[in-house]
Amino acid sequence: MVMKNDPLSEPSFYVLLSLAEPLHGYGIIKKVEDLSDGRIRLGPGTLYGALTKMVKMGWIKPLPVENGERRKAYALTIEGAALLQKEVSRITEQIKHGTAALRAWENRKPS
Amino acid sequence: MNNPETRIQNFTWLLWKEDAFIGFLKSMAAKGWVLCGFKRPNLLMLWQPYGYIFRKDEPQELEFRMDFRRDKKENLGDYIQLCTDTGWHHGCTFKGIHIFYTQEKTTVKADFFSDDESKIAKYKRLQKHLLVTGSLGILTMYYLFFHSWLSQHVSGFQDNVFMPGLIVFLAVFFLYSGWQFHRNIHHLRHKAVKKENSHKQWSFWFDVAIVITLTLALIPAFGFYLMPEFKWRWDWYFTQAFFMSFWVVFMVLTFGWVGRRKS
Repeated sequence: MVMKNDPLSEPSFYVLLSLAEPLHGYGIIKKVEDLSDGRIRLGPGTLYGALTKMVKMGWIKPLPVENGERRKAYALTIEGAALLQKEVSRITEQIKHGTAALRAWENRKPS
Repeated sequence: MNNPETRIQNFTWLLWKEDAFIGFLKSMAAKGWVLCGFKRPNLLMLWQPYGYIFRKDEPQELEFRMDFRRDKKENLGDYIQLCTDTGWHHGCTFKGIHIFYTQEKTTVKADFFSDDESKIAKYKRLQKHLLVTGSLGILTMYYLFFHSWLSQHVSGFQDNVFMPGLIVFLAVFFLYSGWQFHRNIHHLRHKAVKKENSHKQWSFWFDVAIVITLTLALIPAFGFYLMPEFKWRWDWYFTQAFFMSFWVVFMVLTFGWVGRRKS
């Protein structure tokens, strides 16, 4: 689900942006499901694999666990925020180009 | 539990064939035995039952999933908690293999792995783990059998084809497993362009036949390399088969054990 140099896949993009405020695993699944209107439903195996890899890449970090709590919370790091910024500007540019192309198509001369 | 009866049953399965194992667990659940743990073998008392622990419950239809993950204990606690939160109950963990089960149709629909990449990642973890432990084991054996004090001073280590035979067998087995994982991964990557059921798992006995044939074919080559003073003889195969039959009896005795226990 997470590759180093590729553009982020849609599920990992949503996982990353949902960690803008600290959340634990199940919270991430719920939030991603809410944000995407139930379109993206992460399985626990997939999510845990993605979290482990993102921690390894330094995009997110696990927060210290309080006593008696089994759920570990994760938060976005500066590197993760930078990556998210890069992705957002990439997508914004795509939207800009796409909209411009569509507008040109709408205003085409009738042939 | 209302009914505290439990039962221990072992099931030998090849790691890349999780469907066979999941089928076994489902059939046990249909008979009313629900997976609830794993009892480790006691290496000094192998005649005692060990294997998967089942508790008596209503006969029910359960869906099982397998994952492979070796991690620190505190991380695994977090992982199992996450699975439980999403409705996948923890069945058992043994040697990094985690079994989860669920009854809910909605949970099954969301699935344990929601994309193919994470399934591929699981097979890659298994493949890597198997090949690393396998090659370490083979290197240890190679040293022990051919370069250690034992091999110089104990006569059984010098004039016996069992040692190279065992090394060849293990090497063939681990490489074959690695190739089977590769087949699984290849199928997941290319199933969109291929027909739906182009990937058929081979039967257990077919796998066994291939591994044994390759082993027997490669023994002379490795035998010459490892023991140059040895002349190749046909009765190598008989010696090998003789020792291997002990090995098979040992495996059947330990892995084929079916035990019952009331607690």
